Amino acid sequence: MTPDTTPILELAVQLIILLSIIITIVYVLVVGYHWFSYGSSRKTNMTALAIFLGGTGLFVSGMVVSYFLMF
Amino acid sequence: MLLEKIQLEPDERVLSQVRRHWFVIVSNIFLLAMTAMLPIPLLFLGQGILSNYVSLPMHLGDYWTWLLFFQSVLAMVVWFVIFNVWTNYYLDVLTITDRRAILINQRGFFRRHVTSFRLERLQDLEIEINGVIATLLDYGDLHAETAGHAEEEFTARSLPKPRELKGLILKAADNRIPSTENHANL
Repeated sequence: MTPDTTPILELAVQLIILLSIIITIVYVLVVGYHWFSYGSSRKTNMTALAIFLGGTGLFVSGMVVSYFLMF
Repeated sequence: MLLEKIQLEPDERVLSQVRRHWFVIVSNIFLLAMTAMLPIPLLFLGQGILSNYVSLPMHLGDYWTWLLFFQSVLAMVVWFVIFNVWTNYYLDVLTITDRRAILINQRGFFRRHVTSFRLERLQDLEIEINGVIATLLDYGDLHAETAGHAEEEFTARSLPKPRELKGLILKAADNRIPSTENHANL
């Protein structure tokens, strides 16, 4: 008889998603500080921030969607 | 912003502000993007090739939700690395004013190196263009030697149009020397 590994996997996936969101928040604060303190153009900073958040949102959505499809 | 941090002197004029050549950042980002996009297509390709020779007990297509999850995680990690590379590119700037050359080198977050010299202290300016791509796209390194700064290195890497930059700095330095001498005579 093999133990059911599904709850552990589900927890692991949830943790990865949660960790990704926390890392994203910290990363945005760090890069945002650097861009807006030492960058040369506010427009470039805003564009970079929008692209970064858009891409990150897409990847986190990919994780969340696959989580709901898996479990 | 950047110019506020540099703190220009009164009447000091910025002549040029340059970053590394676009090819450097594009080639880095391209390699990273390949790292994110290739693993899963390669897995499917490997499965396709293997299935011609042996009977596989499982098919990757049955685990597409897991693959989507891992692809998203991998893409996100690479996305962060790409923005690290871009931040490094964006914050590394060579600023040439009519009085100074200021090189800002961001060496990772919270590690920033700023070197500058006054143009009247410039002794020698070298450019180095290495390789076929650098020659074709016209980018290279700029190395300055200054009086009294023997130990500190002033090297800006992969700058676009290094010959033009060298000309600009030399011209600004030449303009600077008579005005300094006039001040000394007064």
